[in-house]
Amino acid sequence: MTGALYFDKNIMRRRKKQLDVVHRWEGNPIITTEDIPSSCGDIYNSAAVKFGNTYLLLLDIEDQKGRQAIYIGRSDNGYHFDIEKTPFLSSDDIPDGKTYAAYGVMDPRITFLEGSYYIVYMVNSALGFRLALAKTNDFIKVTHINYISEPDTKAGALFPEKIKGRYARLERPKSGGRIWISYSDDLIFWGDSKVLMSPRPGFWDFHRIGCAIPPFRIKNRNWLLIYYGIKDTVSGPLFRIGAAILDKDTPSKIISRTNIPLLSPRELHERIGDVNNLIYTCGAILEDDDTLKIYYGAAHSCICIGTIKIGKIIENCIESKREF
Amino acid sequence: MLNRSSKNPIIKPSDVKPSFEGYNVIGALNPAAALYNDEFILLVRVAENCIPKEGKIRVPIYRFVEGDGIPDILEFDESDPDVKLKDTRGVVYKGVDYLTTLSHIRIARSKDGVNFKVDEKPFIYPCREEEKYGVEDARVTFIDGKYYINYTIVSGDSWSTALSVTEDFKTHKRLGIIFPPENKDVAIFPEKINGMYTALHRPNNSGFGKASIWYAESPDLIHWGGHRCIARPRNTSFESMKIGGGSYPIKTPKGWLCIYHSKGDNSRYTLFAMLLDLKKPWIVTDRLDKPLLVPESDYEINGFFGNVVFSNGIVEKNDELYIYYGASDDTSCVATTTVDYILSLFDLS
Repeated sequence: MTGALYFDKNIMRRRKKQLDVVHRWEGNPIITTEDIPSSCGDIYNSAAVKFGNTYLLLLDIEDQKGRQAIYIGRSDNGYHFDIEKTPFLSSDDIPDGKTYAAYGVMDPRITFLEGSYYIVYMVNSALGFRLALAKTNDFIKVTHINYISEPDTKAGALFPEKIKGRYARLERPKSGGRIWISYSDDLIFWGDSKVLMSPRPGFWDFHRIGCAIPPFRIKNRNWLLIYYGIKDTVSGPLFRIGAAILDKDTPSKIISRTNIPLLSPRELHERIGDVNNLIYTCGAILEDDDTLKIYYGAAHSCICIGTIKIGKIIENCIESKREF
Repeated sequence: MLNRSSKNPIIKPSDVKPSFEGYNVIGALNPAAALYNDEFILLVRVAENCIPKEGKIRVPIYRFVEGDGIPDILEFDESDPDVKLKDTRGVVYKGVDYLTTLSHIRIARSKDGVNFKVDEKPFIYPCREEEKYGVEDARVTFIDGKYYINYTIVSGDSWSTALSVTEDFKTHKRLGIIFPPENKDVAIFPEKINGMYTALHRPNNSGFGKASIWYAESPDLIHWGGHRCIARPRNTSFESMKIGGGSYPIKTPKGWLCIYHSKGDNSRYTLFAMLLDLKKPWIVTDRLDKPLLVPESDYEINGFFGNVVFSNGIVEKNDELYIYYGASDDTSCVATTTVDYILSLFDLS
């Protein structure tokens, strides 16, 4: 029987077909648990920013004991990263961390706002999961601003500028699985909360959605939101990434939204890991040629790079709209 | 002692006119309370279902048109293959969930605090998608000449808390959602503390522990932050499931007096009290060991959901404290006492 050989060939043939809009870098994964100099059980995901000429990642890493913290990785070329040994931000660094962040800090999202880098991240404890806010100017020293939500809510991100005079943030309350928007005068006190976008029954983002990459403006000043969508399947939740365009003045107005995911778990390291069939991103870097370099976590076990031109994402959003 | 009124229940479903022809009032419960121009005002949660019809399933729905909620009835045949009954509270039709009972907020007025006349028309009525399953359990706090009303709004995302303001109990102005889901049992303090408005709230950290009372601050009552968990359910038969805030905290020389509800063994709801530090109200300085009120009377034990007393309204008048409460999830009741009496219980505790 040559069943095994036949099966392998079949996989090879399938992998030649480009099923995703996002292009995977051939050298993926770029960071695995073995690349982490400290104790590492899992790599969840990463925020990303270009700081001067340095590509900088904020990696959500779980140590072997089981506690998550945020570590910095630095690179000159965006592909090969040196990762620091000690955390940039952990529950030891924040007030009442033992109470509200006993299980760790995670899912960081960076927004450059009014000359500083703000990091919205999630804390987790027996009291539930919720958002906290920190600030840095140099990625050496980080200041905890405050916890900024009540539990249970996750996938928090700030808009990079004020909207109609107020700061705006996205979040995903556990209940309902929708993305909500709230506003603030000072980044500390939040209100005027509204539903921004909902899961779509019958689609790839059927059951739950959340902000993946903090929203940023495209050429016509509308907002591009790259989000994650979850479909519950018989073998557990399936995490994929899509995009939506939000109105420039009223982001709760959705202009268009991809009907198909931009990126789905397909490669072996995206399919199999500590959590199977999962890709999850908290950050991307926009290069001068309009290429978006998406740093995404795969299967809770490694970090990969996917690239796509902004124009291509917009095209996909618009194409999707024409289907209706 | 808490003296239950001999007139209890003071408001029953039969005292309330339905908000729509074909609706049937099955609950007049969990009233918020305020004193306005020497008049007692209750903001009663009115729960309505549809008058049944042979062979049909009928559910109340609201249609939202230009910021207004318009009541309607969705009717389908029992034999319709698109109908799936969930439990007594819900039905699925063509894959969409409907509740058999929806609530809104209605005003009742009284001169003596016991004999109430219920308004004919709703006061706070669902008006947007986030309220599609109704508005419930209001609480009133009087601050600087205005009455701030927070209430639970219900949708497929479970519940959140919205805020309105009124100066006349004729109209109210909506100020938006102040605590996104899941969050309810919000009690706003009657004055600023350390320059901030403050509130108790009850987020649901359901995946982790038992729902607890949290504290928050706000510069303007619209934007909230500084959330922290201040009181957790104790391991007693009274609080074994969860706890949540009641009406506004009362300022006393011994601290902020908060009457809160607890859900314990066999889903029984009772009323408790705790004291918060006057200047640092996120610190619980004392908490009663024994409940203030447990379901004992017939109307508290038997009803839509028996063994429930739930308070979200109080009035202080002439040294008397009127504690309004919902009984068995279907009627409104009152018990009177004094603040001094409740404070004396802490000495025994």
